[in-house]
Amino acid sequence: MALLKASLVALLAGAGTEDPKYPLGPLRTPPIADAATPFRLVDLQYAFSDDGNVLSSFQTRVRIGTSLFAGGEVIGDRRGLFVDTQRIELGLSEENGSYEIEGSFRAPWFVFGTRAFHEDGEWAVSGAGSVRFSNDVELLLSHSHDLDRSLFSPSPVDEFVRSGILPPLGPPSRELRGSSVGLLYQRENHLEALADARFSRVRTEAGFDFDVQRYRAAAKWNPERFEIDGELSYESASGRLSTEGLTSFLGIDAELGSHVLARASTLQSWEPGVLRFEEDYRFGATFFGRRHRFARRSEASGRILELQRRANALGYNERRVYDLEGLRHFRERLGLSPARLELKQALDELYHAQVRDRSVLQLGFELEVAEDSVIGVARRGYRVLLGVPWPLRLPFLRSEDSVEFLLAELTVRHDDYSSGIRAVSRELSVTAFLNREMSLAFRWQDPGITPEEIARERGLPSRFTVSFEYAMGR
Amino acid sequence: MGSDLGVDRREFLRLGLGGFAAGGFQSVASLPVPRLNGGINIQPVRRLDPDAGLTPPLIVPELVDAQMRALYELGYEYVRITLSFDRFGPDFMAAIPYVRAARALGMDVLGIIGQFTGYDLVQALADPATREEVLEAYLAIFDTDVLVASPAFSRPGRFAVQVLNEPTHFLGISPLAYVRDFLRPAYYHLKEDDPEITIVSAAAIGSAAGLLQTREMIEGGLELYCDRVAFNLYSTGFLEEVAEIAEKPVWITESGSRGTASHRDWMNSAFDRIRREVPTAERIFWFDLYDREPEGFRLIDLAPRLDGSVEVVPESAALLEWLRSRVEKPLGGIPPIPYRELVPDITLYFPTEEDVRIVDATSYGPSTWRF
Repeated sequence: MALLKASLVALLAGAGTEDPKYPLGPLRTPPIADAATPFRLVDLQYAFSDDGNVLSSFQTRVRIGTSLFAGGEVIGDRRGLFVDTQRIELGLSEENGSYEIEGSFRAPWFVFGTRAFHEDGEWAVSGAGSVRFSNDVELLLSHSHDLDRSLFSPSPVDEFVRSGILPPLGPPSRELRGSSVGLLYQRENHLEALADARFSRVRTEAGFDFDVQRYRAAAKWNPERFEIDGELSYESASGRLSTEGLTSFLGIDAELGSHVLARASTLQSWEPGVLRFEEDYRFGATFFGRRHRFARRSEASGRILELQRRANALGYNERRVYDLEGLRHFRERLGLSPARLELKQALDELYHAQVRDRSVLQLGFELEVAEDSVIGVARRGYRVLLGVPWPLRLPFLRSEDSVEFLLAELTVRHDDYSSGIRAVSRELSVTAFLNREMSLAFRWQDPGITPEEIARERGLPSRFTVSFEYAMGR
Repeated sequence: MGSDLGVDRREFLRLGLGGFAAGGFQSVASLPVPRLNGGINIQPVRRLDPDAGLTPPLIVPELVDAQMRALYELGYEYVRITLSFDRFGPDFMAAIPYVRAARALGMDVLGIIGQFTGYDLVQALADPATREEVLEAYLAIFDTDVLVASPAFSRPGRFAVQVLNEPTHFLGISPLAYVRDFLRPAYYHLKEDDPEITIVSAAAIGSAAGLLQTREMIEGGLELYCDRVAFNLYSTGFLEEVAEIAEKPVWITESGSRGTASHRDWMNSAFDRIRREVPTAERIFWFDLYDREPEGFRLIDLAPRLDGSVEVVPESAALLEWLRSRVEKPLGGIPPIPYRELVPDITLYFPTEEDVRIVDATSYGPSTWRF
């Protein structure tokens, strides 16, 4: 406990002199490749939420010595423990008598992971892995198998007459088994393409089975001032619920000048057999206090490419990733590797490049227009965000020195049901970033009253959540 | 609650005095209009004024009489009618004479446990404290023995129930929630009270969205909790999917086309296609006999006369002519038993003291309505 306390005090004090300045002062370079003596706190999250029922969750992770992370979590009734090394990840969790065991192994040219879930005396197991052909090409494989083959049949009416108790529902529809194969290609930083196919057998809640096949092609392309994200998939189901459908998604982010990012996306689903055609459109724009850089076109992206190739040459089998959490884990794994000291400078440089590339959101809005014909809902969603940077400035001013400090976000959704009822849901969140690694957040969610809740004469209560998060090296 | 026949309605219904009241049963040589024209939806109209008030008369007998007469003379075999919950108010009570008279005339009745507007019924069904009493009251009132209006009918019409209609479209209840929270409990309660009753699932809206909703309901176990699967079909575009999706027998609870000019063609060609391409389709109900929208789906209009009677105005002339020609052929020129001989006084099928007592015994009583 004393060590934990010492770690936090050191963090709050801001050891080191790395720019920029945060409300809690400058932040030191995270000791990502340094051994812990004997351990160092790297993650601490606590959340408290109340919607009439209080739920607390606590997650923590520490680095032990040179080559191990260990952690634990308590989220409501769920309790879990895990340990990670550069090559091996193991986890065990329990929730109300159900157990989940996870493990993975990362070899120089393949990764294999497995998960087993035990509930009501039955196991469901799944495995997923990848085979690396080069720095840029991976074969992706997965298989899952539910060993519970039982078929649900409802209790006879006689039993209900005898007991007066409504018999229980059957288990929800579930995948009995499924296999997928895919190919992932990453061309430097500006192009990523994926093609995969999945074949599965589904056991329905009604007790009959059907087979599903899905073929998908997806790509993300990042020319200079744009990021284009597209996906096309075809899915067919055989048997009584036979369907054939196409789904396409296209999203375009465009830099308008140096500080504004506009985004438009659309999702289209088409099922020719039943003339179903569904559309979802989103539009938005965000003003950044600092010059905007796409992650794949940023200074860090060059270092990611270089570091990934170097790591793979050392046999560590890493994929290029660009999001904050993915990059943090990428750096952490390499920081646990036997070559951590050799990679230390490159890891630190990547971190500093990420800091220099940071985005500072200050003003933004998004409009969402969608329809779900299965439940007969037309949706209009509105999202606005307002950020106040640190050092304190008005949200419409630019400053390359700024960091994220306060960020408020409001989302309002109108769901118009064909029955004439409008359910209005609202969500407000305010986050204070004390520095890059530490934040305090408040969230209030009002789910609105849906027609089903009117029918049941009980609406979901609004919920508020307060949370604290510390993530070293974020 | 008396009648000018010297017996009360309860006794009348128990004894089956319809034909007798008209001066004795008809000659055995007389036959009723043959029942061979399938099914149709009827509305339990209680008054013609658009905003039917709560002042007497709550149910205009001539309206019930006019519709029942049309059904009989057109040779319908079965009818579908909304038994609107209405907290057991006038709209609920108005369905009683329609159901009883139709059954007495040998027509099977599919009663929708539903409600024209509002959430009272689904709230009552969702709440275990009221679900049982509401469903029991439905069966106690509508699923009782009815005697035939004439010995020429081999049996009275059977009563079946449909649990809600187009729940996603009209109420915003998701397909899965419908199966789990409404159909499943209703199935157990209804079968407990009458193990022989036929329970028909709700049909989804008659469009592509409806087919998707039905797919979700089937996946959610709909067929575990009903005897017949219902579809509303206003297009023949999805017949292949309908034929594949359900294993249990199918009832097409609504089908029709807008515009009187298209009615006859729809009944000839679309109904034939449905029977041919959905072999499990047992029953098809035309939508509908009467509603308030002219030149739409309805076959007839109802016009009040100055003397208080109601005139049946043929609207879908070609289809009505075709239906009549079909019933005339088997009669071979012999006049059928006239409707008036079978139903001399429609008010004898009106709500009884016993019906009011059943309603009064629920938490929605006591009823102040008198009919």
